[in-house]
Amino acid sequence: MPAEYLFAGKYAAFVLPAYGVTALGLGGAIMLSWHTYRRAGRKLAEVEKTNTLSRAPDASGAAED
Amino acid sequence: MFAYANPKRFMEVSAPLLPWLAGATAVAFAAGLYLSVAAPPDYQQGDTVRIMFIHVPAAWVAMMAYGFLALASLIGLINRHPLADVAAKQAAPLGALFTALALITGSLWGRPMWGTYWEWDGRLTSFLLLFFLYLGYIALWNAIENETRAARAAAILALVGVVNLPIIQFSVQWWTTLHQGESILRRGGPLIAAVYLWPLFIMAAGYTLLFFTLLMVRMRTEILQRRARTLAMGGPNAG
Repeated sequence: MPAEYLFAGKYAAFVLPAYGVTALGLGGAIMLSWHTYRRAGRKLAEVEKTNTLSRAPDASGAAED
Repeated sequence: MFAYANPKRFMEVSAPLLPWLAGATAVAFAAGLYLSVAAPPDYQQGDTVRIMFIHVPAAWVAMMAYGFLALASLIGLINRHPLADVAAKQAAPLGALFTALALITGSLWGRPMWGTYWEWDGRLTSFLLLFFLYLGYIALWNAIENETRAARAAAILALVGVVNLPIIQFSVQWWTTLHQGESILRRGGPLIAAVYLWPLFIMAAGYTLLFFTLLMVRMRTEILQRRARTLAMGGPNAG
């Protein structure tokens, strides 16, 4: 693959920013979406754990009743 | 059909699908990018033709995303289907992103070819309007606290905005524009040589797959967040 193809010859000032902005936009969307997804999963697990603990017989005092 | 499209069923079905969709996206992008760089410079446009491989798919997916958003909004509005509302809500930021990318890359293509970054012609202006429709839709969702009411209001805006899709599509026929006419999806076949058409179609497949992969991730995120909120508030299904 000739290097001038990769660096887009005399139009590099337009081609490279176009690819750069696209990479930034799509890469950012992928990273943000994945990060938010993982965080939401962790948050749900945390809430489920809290709910389970608060409903446990020892926590509610039901075992003593 | 809607019986299979509830959030719980969606989570079950989408979990094993997601890695396959992501893998197919990566393969399509790798092949498309390789072919985009390997394609020879155009005899008139030179290397700027490479911008076509990222500009045109972004524009196609931006319009497809709006069509999807409008369809999901319609289903949400008529059937009051929660998954349809989630799909529409999560498609909007992605659609806005692809629209912005189409506008920016188009502008960077226009400068060396037309001598200007921007022109208020039919195609460019209607596409800018598409971007504002996405922003308006997102703003409306965020402005109304009640999710059901927000979904209804945003759905109406989405359906009104559908009128812009044929305007974008036919603007190059209806008005004299700086933007080129139809050269790919037209009667009589594409006007573009196969050496450019293949990278374009493969990149378009990559963009489409990426849209649906990200949409799936974002929908799953929204469902997880709603579930966590319900549990935290001690909702009816809590625990």
